[in-house]
Amino acid sequence: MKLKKKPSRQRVLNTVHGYVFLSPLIIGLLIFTFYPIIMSLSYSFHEYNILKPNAYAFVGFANYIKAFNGDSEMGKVVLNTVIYAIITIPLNMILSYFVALLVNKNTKWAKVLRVLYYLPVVIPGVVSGVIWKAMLNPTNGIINRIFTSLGLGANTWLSEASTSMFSVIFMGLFGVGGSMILWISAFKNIPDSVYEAADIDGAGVLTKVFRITIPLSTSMIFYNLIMGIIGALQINSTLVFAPRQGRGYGDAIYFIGVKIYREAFVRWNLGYASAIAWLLFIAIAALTGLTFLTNKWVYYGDE
Amino acid sequence: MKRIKFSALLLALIFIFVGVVGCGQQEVNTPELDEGDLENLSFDVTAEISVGVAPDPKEKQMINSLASEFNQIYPNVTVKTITLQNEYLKEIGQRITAGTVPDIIFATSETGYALISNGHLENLEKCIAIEEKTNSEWRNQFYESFMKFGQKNYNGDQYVLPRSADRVVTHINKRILREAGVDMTKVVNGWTWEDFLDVCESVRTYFDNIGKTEQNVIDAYINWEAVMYPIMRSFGVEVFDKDGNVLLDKNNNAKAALDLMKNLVDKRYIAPPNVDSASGNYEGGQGAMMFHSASAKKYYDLLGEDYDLVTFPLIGNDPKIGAGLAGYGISSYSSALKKAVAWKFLSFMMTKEGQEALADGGLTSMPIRKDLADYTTNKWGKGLESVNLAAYSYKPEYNIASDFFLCFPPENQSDIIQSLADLVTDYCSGSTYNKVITEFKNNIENYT
Repeated sequence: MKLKKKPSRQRVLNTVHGYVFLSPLIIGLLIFTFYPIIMSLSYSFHEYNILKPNAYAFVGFANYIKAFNGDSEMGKVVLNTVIYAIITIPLNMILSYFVALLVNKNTKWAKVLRVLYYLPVVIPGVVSGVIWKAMLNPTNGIINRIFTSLGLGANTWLSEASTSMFSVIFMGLFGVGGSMILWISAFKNIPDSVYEAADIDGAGVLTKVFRITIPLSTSMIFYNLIMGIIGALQINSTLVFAPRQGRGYGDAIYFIGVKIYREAFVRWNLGYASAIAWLLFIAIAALTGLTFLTNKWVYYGDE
Repeated sequence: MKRIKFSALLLALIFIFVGVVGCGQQEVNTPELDEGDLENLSFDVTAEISVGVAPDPKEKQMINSLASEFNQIYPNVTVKTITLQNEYLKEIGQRITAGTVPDIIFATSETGYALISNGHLENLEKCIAIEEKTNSEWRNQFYESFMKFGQKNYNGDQYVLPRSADRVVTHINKRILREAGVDMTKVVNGWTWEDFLDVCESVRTYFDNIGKTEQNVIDAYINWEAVMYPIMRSFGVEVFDKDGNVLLDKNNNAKAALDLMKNLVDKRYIAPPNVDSASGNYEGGQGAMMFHSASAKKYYDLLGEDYDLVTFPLIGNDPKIGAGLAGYGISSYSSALKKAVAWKFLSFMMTKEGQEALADGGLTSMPIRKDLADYTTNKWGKGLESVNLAAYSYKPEYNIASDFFLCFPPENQSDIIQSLADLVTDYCSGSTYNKVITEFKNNIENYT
């Protein structure tokens, strides 16, 4: 009979040390991530108005049912969010991809451009929102001044419903630097020998892009696609810069993320806000899952 | 099969956990205010009360100054200030749940309705009745129009005591008006909307002549409820009936009120409100005038001797001027003894000594007491003797609160105010009258 070996004192100490070092992270995750997740799930099944603590009551799926049938705003916010996602995800991916191709060179100017493209990403969201609000002012904003001086005419930007969605998408383009960096890292992983072989075979620039660069960076395309879906569906940055408490004129840029905020902190319906948040989570999880199911086109290296 | 069982077990565990977590919400108690405590509270009482103040360092300073004077009477009472954050109602809600709500809570016109309607503030009638036993004129010492903003639905029991009187006035830049050749004898308390338009026209012409064609004349905040609603009421227009039905479209004067506001855009006195409701940059010394309720001291510090103020221009035969509340109420959740001590603190705030203590702490708004109206002799006007602070006390009967949302639940207050602001913004930005009314009614339907 084999006797189970007793762990040495040193090994136990090492394990304890390991957990002690891990504990700040674990405690932080439990308190600031898992606890709010569980609480929000709990709230979503309750009538919970933060200003009426004594009216807290279990309501089953009523909040979820209300989101589908009983809230006239939901159709508009879902439609706006879907339109934004459909336009912005491919647009940002394609643009950031080509920007990355452009600056993926070892020249001095390419390095400068890389920094310039990435700079907007390091500006905090709130600061960026305030800057955009000032820049897009139809009468004295710098962008309209530039447009006017170029003879392009002034745009109404966020001051009209018809141009609000375009404005938000336009603003989003200045964040392509984030994806650009990821593309560049993907390009760097493609061995030079592959391009050298293509050169010997007489391949042109476009052939190399479409036959080598794109196929060998599909893992990054996939990653950016997933992150794009998550980011686009969660958009709530309009709270900082858009009129009408982030909804925009005519509710043209009233997104699900803004709706969740308004339900929770303007209307104080934390239960209903939590239910919408969970529905958004389910939608994002489903879309992400669906994307994973179709990932046969992704090249993960030598499999 | 194993997977299904595991998933079912996991799901069951999650639901049990969620249920348990959900049951964790405790019923919050609201102890009764004891009349005996109120009447017989000893000056030697030992207690600690907390005052939840707005996130403005000045507010804390004022309350500390008040507390220091209060301690001359109640030396064993410790007054602790708690700064409530910008998301004020959210913090109050969280503190109620956590049992850490301050004994005295700061309230404004914006937050008072939600606090009172949800039962977070104590009805002060019992306390006032005891006060009136010794001073039957207790209520008459204060401006009635300001006191009523602290009442439930502004027509009932008192829940909040105003710490000062806030009113929308016209802040002016004397230098710009002088350079524009404005007849300053017209710019006096009680000036009319027509006088105001004459001044705007002079300034517009002046700006155009010096090449400032894009400079707006006034930061009118025309889509702010404290400006737009009194204008509507000056035309006799009410927004809703008591059941929340829209009345705007049933009053022929509604269009006239909106036209009056739109006229400011058409004549380039203000920018269209969908672009910017404060594009004149008065605070930066560029604009000639501004409608606002903020304290005169703030702008005097910014503009120096160029600064002065005058009443909001009067419209028609029954003019209205926007006014609001900034005051304190007692938390329903405090113990009976703390409520009694809190009342003593608030009633002291309303005394002459209390109001002067607030002024010592930096309060420069007009006191709530009628006997302190003279700013040239009382502390609140100290350093501002050269400006026309009488604009705050001119005909208080014209004061009106932006109370059109009271027929709706407090959780819809913000949406209702926003809907009216949208109506004004859209009309002033070029939408037709029928369109803005239809959209407003559609918006309101969601809340009725």
